[in-house]
Amino acid sequence: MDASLTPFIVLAPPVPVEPHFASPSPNPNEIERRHWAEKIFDHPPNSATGLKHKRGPFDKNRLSVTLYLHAEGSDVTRLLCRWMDPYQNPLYSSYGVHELCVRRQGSSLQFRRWNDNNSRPTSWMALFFKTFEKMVLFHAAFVALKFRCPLTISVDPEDHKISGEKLLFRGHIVDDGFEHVLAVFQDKKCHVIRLHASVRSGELKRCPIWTAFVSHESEDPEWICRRSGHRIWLRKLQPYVFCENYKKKRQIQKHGEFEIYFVEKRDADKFEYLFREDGEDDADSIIYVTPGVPVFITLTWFEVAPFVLSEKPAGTKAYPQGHYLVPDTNALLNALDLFEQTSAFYDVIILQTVLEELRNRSLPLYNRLIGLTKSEDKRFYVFFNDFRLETYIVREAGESINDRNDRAVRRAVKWYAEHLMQAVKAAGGRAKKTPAVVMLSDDKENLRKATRDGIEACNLTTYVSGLENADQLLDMISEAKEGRELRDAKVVENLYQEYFSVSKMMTGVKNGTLHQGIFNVSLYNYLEGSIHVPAFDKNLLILGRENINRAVQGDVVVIEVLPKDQWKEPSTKIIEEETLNKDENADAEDGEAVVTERERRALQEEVKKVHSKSIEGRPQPTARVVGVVKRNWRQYVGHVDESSVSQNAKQSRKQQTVFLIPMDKRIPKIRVRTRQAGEILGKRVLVTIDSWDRDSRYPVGHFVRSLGDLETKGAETEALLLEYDVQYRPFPKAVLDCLPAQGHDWIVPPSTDDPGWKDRRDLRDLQICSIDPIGCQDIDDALHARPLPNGNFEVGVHIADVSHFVKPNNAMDAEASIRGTTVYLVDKRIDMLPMLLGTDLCSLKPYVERYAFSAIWEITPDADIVNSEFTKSVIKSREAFSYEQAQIRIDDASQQDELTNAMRTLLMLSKKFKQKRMDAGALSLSSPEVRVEMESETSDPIDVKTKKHLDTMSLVEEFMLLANTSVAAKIYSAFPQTAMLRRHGAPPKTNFEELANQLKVKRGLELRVSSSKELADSLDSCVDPKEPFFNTLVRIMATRCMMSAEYFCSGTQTYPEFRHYGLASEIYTHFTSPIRRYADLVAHRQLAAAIDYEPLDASVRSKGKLEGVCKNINVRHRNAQQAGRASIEYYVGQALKGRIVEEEGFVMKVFSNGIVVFVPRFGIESLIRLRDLADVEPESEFDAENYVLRTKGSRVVEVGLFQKVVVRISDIKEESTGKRKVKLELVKTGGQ
Amino acid sequence: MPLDTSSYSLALLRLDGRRWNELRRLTAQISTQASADGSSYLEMGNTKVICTVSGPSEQKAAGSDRGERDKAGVRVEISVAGFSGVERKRRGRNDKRINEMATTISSAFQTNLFTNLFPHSTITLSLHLLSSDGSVLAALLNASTLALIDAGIPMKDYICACTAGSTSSYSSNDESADPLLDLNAQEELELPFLTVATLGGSDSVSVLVMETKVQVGRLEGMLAVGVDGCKQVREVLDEVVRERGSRILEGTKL
Repeated sequence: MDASLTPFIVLAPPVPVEPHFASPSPNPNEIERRHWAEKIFDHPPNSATGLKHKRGPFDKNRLSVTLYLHAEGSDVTRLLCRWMDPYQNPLYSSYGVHELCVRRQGSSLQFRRWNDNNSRPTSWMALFFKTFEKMVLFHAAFVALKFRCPLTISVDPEDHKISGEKLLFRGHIVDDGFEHVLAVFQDKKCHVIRLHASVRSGELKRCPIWTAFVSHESEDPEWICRRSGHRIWLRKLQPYVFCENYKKKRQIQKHGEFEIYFVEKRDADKFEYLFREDGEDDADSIIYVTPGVPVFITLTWFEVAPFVLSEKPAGTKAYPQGHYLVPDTNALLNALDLFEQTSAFYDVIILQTVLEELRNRSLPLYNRLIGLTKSEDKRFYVFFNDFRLETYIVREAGESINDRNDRAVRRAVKWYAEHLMQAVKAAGGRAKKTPAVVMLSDDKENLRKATRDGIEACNLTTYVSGLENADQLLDMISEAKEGRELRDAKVVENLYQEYFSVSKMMTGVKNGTLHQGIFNVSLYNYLEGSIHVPAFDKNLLILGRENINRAVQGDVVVIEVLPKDQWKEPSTKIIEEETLNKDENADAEDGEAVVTERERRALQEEVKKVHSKSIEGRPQPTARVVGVVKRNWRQYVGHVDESSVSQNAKQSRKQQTVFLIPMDKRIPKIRVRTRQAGEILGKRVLVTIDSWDRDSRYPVGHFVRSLGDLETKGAETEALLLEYDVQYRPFPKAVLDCLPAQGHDWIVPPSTDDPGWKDRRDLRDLQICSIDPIGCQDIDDALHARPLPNGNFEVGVHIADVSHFVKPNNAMDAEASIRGTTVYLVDKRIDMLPMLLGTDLCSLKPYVERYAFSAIWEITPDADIVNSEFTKSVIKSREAFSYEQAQIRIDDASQQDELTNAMRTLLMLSKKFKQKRMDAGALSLSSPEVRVEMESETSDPIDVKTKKHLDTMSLVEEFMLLANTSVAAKIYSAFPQTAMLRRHGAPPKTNFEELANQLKVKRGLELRVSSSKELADSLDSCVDPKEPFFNTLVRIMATRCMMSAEYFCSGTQTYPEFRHYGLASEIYTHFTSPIRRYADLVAHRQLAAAIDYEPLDASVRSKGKLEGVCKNINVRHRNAQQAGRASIEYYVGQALKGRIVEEEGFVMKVFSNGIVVFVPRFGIESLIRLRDLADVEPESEFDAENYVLRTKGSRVVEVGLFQKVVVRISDIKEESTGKRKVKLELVKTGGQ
Repeated sequence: MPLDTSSYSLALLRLDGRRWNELRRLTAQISTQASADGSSYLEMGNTKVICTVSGPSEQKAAGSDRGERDKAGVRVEISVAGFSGVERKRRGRNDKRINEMATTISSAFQTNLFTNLFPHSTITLSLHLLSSDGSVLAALLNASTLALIDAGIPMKDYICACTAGSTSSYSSNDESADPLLDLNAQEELELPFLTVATLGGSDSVSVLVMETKVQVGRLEGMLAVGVDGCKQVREVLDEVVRERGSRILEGTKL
């Protein structure tokens, strides 16, 4: 018998700590000593009759029910129920049998607790049974125990009946020397017949003695035998005894017949008649149960929703009796962070109305709230008030939806309070001790109405003030609401123009008079935004604060194009907020103008300049923001502007307003009110924007948490991860549970008969090796090559078989699809898959056998592919080389072993492949790549090196490209609609206009961009014989004009669009790094299905799902790249700390008041402003056509684009911002 | 204002607050149009249907010679009101889905009615969908049953229909999905579902239509729940018929 599935009865010591489980096969001696209740389920009944269940499978193995008996035998029995919550924590509940009543309901036994107050039982638990027999036994055992329990006052007559049974017979018998009542019952639904003997008279009247099921054997004519007038023998009867003193042996005759002695002869007649064949007329009422009756659904489950809210909620000063919180929507909108605190905010009731309103207002907040309701310890309960008659309200005529919702909240709060009061009264508690139900709201009107209706309500600030750590918590309350109220008092002119109404925007966009797009801010000028809309080829410019009109980087906005006379050229000037508005007072709330005098001047100068040269200038269309469709505000990392903190307040806890400068330059300063200004100064902090009203120059936000001191490794790394939305938390348990149980001891099964070997090719004897960067642990690819007898070569690329370990639709797959990619920071790697897989089980480590997915080609010496095939395999890598080691080995002519020769073959072939690719027009692009060298002990950065390029790198690269391209073709042919591919769109010509013009003007070179081949060739011709780096510089700049490559699902594009521009390949995918990229994992699954290795999971087959996956991994991929670059940038800064170096650099961009210089040695790109050239800012003349900036006066310099300069690199810590920056100073123009 | 289906797991409550095994409110009237031989009006939640029956009448001469000579033919016409859905939409005469529903209904009743009693004749069911909110086919079948009873055409038993679905979509491949009874339009959009009709209170299925994909493992549960729902539907329909019958006997209203 499966103990976990079925309730069983256990005898245990008086203080149950570890219950003693009845062993399934007890030895005979023990049987004698055991309590009768333990023996109930020892012998399975002769028949098993399934009960009908309406519900499908519930969780198995989650419930056990135990009966505890008092050791002294005083028959005090308790029922203990243990079940698992969704997080696998056991929960217990226990009651004495004397406190419980039992009722049968369909396939379940309902246990109810007698409630003295309203003289009605209330439900405790329901046990559902697989079979009728077990239910009967459990029921009878329970009733017998209840009868015998000395604490039982009375047994309800309903208790010992099993409803749904029909009484066929009742008579008196003498049984083991006692007089009992024998009854025959038949269940109306499943027709099981049973004999039931119970006590006839006395205190224990009706207490069950035994019960026996009558099954198919009763059809046998010899089953029943009339021995005499009073005696009847029954064969093969198996009575289950519910009594310690009853000896069933005494009734059993020598051949196992069970004797029943009837007190009255006519009872015996009736009994015999009932079962005899000649009782034909009764045949309708008796249907024998035969084994093999189809059982509908036979599953046990258990339904007690554990209470979410605690019985005794915490109290505060205002509510000493304890309280439940009911926040309304704006309370959650303003301060969800508060609710996530661990110090307070427990026992919260979330109303359905609020949940839905929140979902409409902010999806991220909604998701966070759902997370809270699922968390066990926060005790957030969702109350479906709109689905309940007492709390549902109808919207009245003329009532706004918000008012209706507020009213619904008040109604629910009121009902809850009354409901609690009644419940407490009914239980005999005192009204004073009833926990209060408190509505939390920041809406004045709502609060007023609540007070009017006599509902407990309070606003967030008041409530939080009553808590213990009020100071900390108060900061987290959103500024928005309060601020607005404050300002209502003063008459404030609105700084910004009002947004258009939604309908006006929508009509405008439909008509084409307005346009919608994503707002982007220029990196060099925070007052200049650009937006790409489908109606214009070129990006539209949005200049100045008024036109930007409160849009923040990333928002989806609606814009209106300005008249042509206001069109302008993109700014040629660097404008940084930090410097321009350095001395602003964060507290200044009145008399604030939208455009400061300095800003106005900065912009005016530009306008003048544009006017002066409007003929040759290339004005771009400009626009202004008229509305925001969707805010894409997230949490921002930044630091507090020290200058905005008043000195005397640094120590005090007085609330003050400070500015927070986000790390991302494109985000405006955020105004934050805090009491902890002194503490968070000099720290990396996380803030969110709450609102940006028309009357406020800057957005208003609130402080979320501090990440640590500025410039500490931990804080900066976490800041980066947060800023680029990298999931860096440890893998949850559910994910780790998906790993193979053997852990690091997992090996490829030695026997090839193992299911893991199914359809796998044994490639263990091949000379396979891997080539990776130094210190690489997650080796996802390995290679081999060997000559074939016909003079061709067999070349194989073997990729880690991650899809064997990560099955679709489990927790690990879900986590990996969210993470999308592994993120490499300088000192840290954030894995997509748990370490065990990434660095061990999947990783193609040398000298061990591993599962792999292999692509094998036959290639001619001229690098033509004769044929290709894909197979799952088992390989054993012979060696893991680093690029350098491999290069040395290849170059060393004395090495003539098989492996080295194979690598030479590979290198030879790869060069030919590369040449072919180049001929086809593949681009060789460039990006500044440097490597930070770390001290091995402290992992402090010590030096920066540019990456060297080795032949072995392109060896690996070429074969990976080959594998990717062939896999792409294969999966596309198998799944034309849903193949996971990667494309790189051809950049629009306009992207190159600027660069082409620059090259033409400065060097007389021509950049042809009509095709990737043309571009590749013209890039090759962009050389400066005197300056080898010039070509790289041009390539870097060209790269920035490109589109970014993206993953897509083949059904969403037409075939010509599949093209990978950069690689000049018709079709491409990512297949070779499944350990660190989710796209590769999907490609693996699709390839496995394409070669009929395993069926394709439904989730990879659905186009909609795949599009979702692509969208996510595209974002993750980009974020990971940016995070990696930012990490390098940070470490380069750290490596240069305290050093002053003179280096060569190149001018990449010229502004009217500064230049951008790129230093290849460190991969840094930085600004040199005019005012940094000399103590007094020199006068300047900017020749925009020729990209030359000339200065006069205090310093005479002439710099042009692409010019080589020498700069002095140092680092400074800006006093105003507390931020360390790399600073470049111009030493001289021209080379060293 | 309903919750997203993804939040079903929160409280096991559906978009409209029902539990998994609850029908929507099902109300019906019969003999709503005095001029027709038989008529009915039926609401399943917000799905509203009118059905009128004319016939058995003499078979139309040419063109509609569909049935055999010795049996009555069942002709079904469905018209969908332009205002029935969320968006106003005109459906042509040759709408494939509507034609398919008509064929389904026709063949279901062809076998259920004692058509052999009316040779050379046609029974025409004219169905109007006034408002559609899911379970359209089921509502049409139920309304037809009532109207045919009203017309006094002998049949073996009621044809009672309802829909059953599953709580998560095909592609989510969720093994713990629960079956659902009687889907509304929003649920039908997202979830796999089937329409099932049974003969009276028995388990014999007379119509089973499924147009969405679902893992085969979930089908059994869905079907069981659907058949169960049909029994509940029968109770309601029976009530309506009996009430009408008793009124006729009382002579209060014909």
